[in-house]
Amino acid sequence: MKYIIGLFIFVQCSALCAQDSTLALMDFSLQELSELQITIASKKEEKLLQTAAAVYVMTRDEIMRTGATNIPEVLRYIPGFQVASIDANKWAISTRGFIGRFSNKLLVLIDGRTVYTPIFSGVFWSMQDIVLEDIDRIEVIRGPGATLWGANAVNGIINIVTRHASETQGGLIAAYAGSEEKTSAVLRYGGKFSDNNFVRGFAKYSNHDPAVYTDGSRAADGWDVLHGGIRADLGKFPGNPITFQADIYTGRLGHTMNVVRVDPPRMEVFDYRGNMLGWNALLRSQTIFKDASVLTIQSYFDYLYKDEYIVKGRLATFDVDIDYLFDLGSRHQIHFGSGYRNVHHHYDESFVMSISQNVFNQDQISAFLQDDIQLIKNRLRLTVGSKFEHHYYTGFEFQPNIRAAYTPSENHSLWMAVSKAVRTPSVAEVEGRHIAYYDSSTFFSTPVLYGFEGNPDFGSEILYAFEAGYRFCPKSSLLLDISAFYNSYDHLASAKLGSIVPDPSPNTQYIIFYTLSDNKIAGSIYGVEWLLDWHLNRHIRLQLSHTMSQADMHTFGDGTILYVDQVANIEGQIPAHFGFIRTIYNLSNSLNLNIGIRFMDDLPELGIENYVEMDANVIWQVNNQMSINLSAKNLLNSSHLEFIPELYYTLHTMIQRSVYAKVMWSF
Amino acid sequence: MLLLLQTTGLHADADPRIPPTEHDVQAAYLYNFLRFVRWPETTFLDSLEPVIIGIVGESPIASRLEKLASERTLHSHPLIVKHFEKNDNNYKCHVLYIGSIEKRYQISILKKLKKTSVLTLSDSNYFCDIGGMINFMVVEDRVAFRVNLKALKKANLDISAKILRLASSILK
Repeated sequence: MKYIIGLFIFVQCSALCAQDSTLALMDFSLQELSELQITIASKKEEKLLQTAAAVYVMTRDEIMRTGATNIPEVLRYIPGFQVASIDANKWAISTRGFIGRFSNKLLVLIDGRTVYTPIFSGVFWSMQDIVLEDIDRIEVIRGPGATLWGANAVNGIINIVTRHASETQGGLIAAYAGSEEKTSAVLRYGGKFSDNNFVRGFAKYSNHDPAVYTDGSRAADGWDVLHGGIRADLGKFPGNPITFQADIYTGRLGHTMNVVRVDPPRMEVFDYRGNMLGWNALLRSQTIFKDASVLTIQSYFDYLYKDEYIVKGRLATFDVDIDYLFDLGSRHQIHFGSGYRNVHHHYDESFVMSISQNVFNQDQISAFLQDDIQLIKNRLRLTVGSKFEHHYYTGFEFQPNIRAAYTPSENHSLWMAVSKAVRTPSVAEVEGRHIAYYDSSTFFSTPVLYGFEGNPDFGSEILYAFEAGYRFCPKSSLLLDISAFYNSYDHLASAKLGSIVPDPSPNTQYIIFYTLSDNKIAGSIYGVEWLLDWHLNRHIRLQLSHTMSQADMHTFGDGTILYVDQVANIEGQIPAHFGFIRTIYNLSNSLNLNIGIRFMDDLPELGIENYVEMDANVIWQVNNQMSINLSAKNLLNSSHLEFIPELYYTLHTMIQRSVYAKVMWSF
Repeated sequence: MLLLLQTTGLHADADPRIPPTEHDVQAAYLYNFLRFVRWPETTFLDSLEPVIIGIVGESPIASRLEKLASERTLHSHPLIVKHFEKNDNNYKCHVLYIGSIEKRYQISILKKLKKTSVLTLSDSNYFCDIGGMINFMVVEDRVAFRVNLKALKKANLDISAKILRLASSILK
C-alpha cells in the first residue's frame, strides 16, 4: 500500500536547541525521572518538509476537533480543497478546479481501496460513511500523483488511512443526536487473540434529516446508512503484518428527481428514495526484509449497488497490486509495482438513461517505476518515475513525473515538479445515453427533448502540471507552506452535435436532440495556495489557509461545439478565493474549544453567491472513559446554497445551520 | 560509515526554573538503565573497556548523550557515543538509540541485531511492538517508557526489577 508520506524521509523539523539541563538530571533516580514534568516542545515531527508535492496530513486528533460527522465535512478544513454540499447526501469535492458531483479528476482511496467509481467517474460520498473515530489520518495531495497512483489522480488524491486494530482495543460507544445529523450510533469493540494478532469489529447507524429547497421548504433528501465492518491485523515480529478488512453497508438516500417524462413530454419533479448496498473485503500483506526493502501485496474485492432512479448500477471490482521498495546503494530508493483490475458492470436502464453495453467487463493493467535519488544527502532529492497503464477504453497511457526537493537547512525547503496525468473516460461518456431535459419553449412544432450520447471515440483528458512550493519552518511550532501551480489541460470533455432521433411511434410526439461527447476544450488553471499553521503556545493553535486560482479555457479543432458555455462553466467552477481560519484552544487539560470560519468566493456561472460560514464545538473530556462534544455547524446562515450539479437529474438543496451533542464512552 | 563524536567542556548547568525537555529526561533515563541492565559475561573484556552508545537517525538526544559521555563513566567503563547510518551493515555498540527514521529501517536494524546483546531504545511509541526493547512515550507531560521483556531475554540482557516497576507496561 502506498502512503503519501511514508515514501519520504522523516525529518524532525524542531530547532534542536540543546538545552543543557542534561547533566543535573543524571543523578536523578528512576522514580524521580518518572515524576518530572517536562516542557512539551509541541512535538510535531515534520515529515512534510522534504516532500516534493503539495501534501497535507490531517491527524486523528485534528479530525475529531473539526466537529465533522462525515468525510466531506472534514475535507472542508483541508487546505486547498473545495467542498460544496449539493443536497443532504451529495457533495461536490475537488481541488484546483473541475468541481462537480462527479469530480472526475480526484482520486479517493480508503486503506488502499479506490472508491472512485467508473460509472460517471467520481465518488459517491454517501457510500463512504466510515467511522471517523477509527481514522488514523487523512493524507491529501493537491496536484497530480498519477505516477504512483495511476489514472484519474489528476488534480488530487485523498488517501484515508484507518487505525491499526491494536490501537482500537476495548470498546467504544459513540452516539450523537442533533438537528440535521439526526441520530447516529457507533459500537466498536477490539480484542486480541494473541500477542501480535488484533481484531476489531464495528457497527454504525446514522440517520440524516432532509435539507431545504431554495424556497425554504423542506426537501426530501434525508438518508440513513447502516454500516458494519471488521479489521484484523495479524503480524509476527518483526514487520511482516497481514491486514484483513471487510465492510458491509446498506442505506436509503432521498432524492428530488428532475427527469423527463415522455408521455406527454414534460419535466417531472418528484421525490424518490433509492437504495444502496455494498460490501468489500481486502487482504494486504507486507514484508519488511533485513535490508529495509518492503514488499507489499494487496488484493480486494468490492461490490456496490446503487439506485439513482435513472439508472441502477451494480459494480463488482477485483483488484490486485504488488509493489516493492528498496534501496539501491546509499542514494537511490527504487519503488516499482504492478496491478490488475477488473470491473464487472451491470446496469438496469430507464427511458432517460441507457448504457450501450448493459453487462460488460472492464480490464486494466498497470505498472509503475520510480527512483528517488539523494543527490546531496538530506539536502537535494530528485524523484523521477512513470506509470504505464493499459485502459479498457483508451489503450496505453504513459504518466511520467519529475520532482525535486531542495532543503538548504532544516528550517526551509523548496520543491518543484513537472508531471503528466490523464483522466480516463467514464462509462457514461463512452456508452451512455441520457435524456436530460425537455424544452417547452421550443419553436419547433414538435416538442424537443435534449440529451447527451456517449462517444466510442471519446479519449482521455490530459494534464501537464507545473508546480513549485516553499516551506518555512523556523521553529517546530510554526509552519508556512506555499505552493503555486500552472496546470495545462488538453482534450478536455466537450460536446458536439450528435444525432437527432424522432419518436419512433406513428404519431411523433417528440424529437430528441443529442449532443455527443468530444475532447475539444483546452486551457489552463493556475493558482497559489498557502497555509500558516501556528502553535502560539501549548493552549492555542491557529491555522490560516487561502487559495487563489483562475481558469482560462478555450475550444479548439473543427468539431462543432454545441455549448460554448461549457468553457465558461469550467472557468466558473473555480472560486477566485477561498480558505479558512481554524483555531484550536485547549481551555484546560480536559476542555477544548474549536472554531472554524470558512470563506468561499462566488461561482457566477453556477449562480452561487459567496459565503462565510462558521463551525464551532466544545469537547469535554469528562474522564479517561468519557467525552462529550457539543457542536454547531454553519452558524452564520439559517441556510445557504453551495452548489448546483452539472447533471440536473436531482434538485439541489440548501445546507442548514445545525447543532448536535455527542457522547463517546470507551470501556 | 561511523563517526565518532565527543564533545567536551559544555558546562551550562540546568536552570531549575525551566523544566527539562523530553530528550533531557530520556538521556537521564538511558544513563539509569545502563546501571540496571546486565550484559552477558563475555561482552566486556575488562572493566576499562568502553560502553558504546550508538545513535541512528537525527535526534535531539545526541547532544545530551555526547555531553554525558564526556563527563561520566559507567562504573569504571568509559562511555563513547557513536553515530550510525540507518542502512549500515552492522551496529557494533552496547546500547542503540533509534531516532526519527522510517519504520522500515527500524525493523531492518532490529533484524540485523538479532542474536546480539544490544540494548535498543527509541522514542517511537510503537518501538516495543516491532521488537524493540524500550520505548519512551510522553504521558501527561511526563516521560514514561514501555519495556519488551521478551526481546531483552532473547538478547540475554538482564534487567533489574527497579526498571520494570516503573515501566508503564511490560510486554512478556
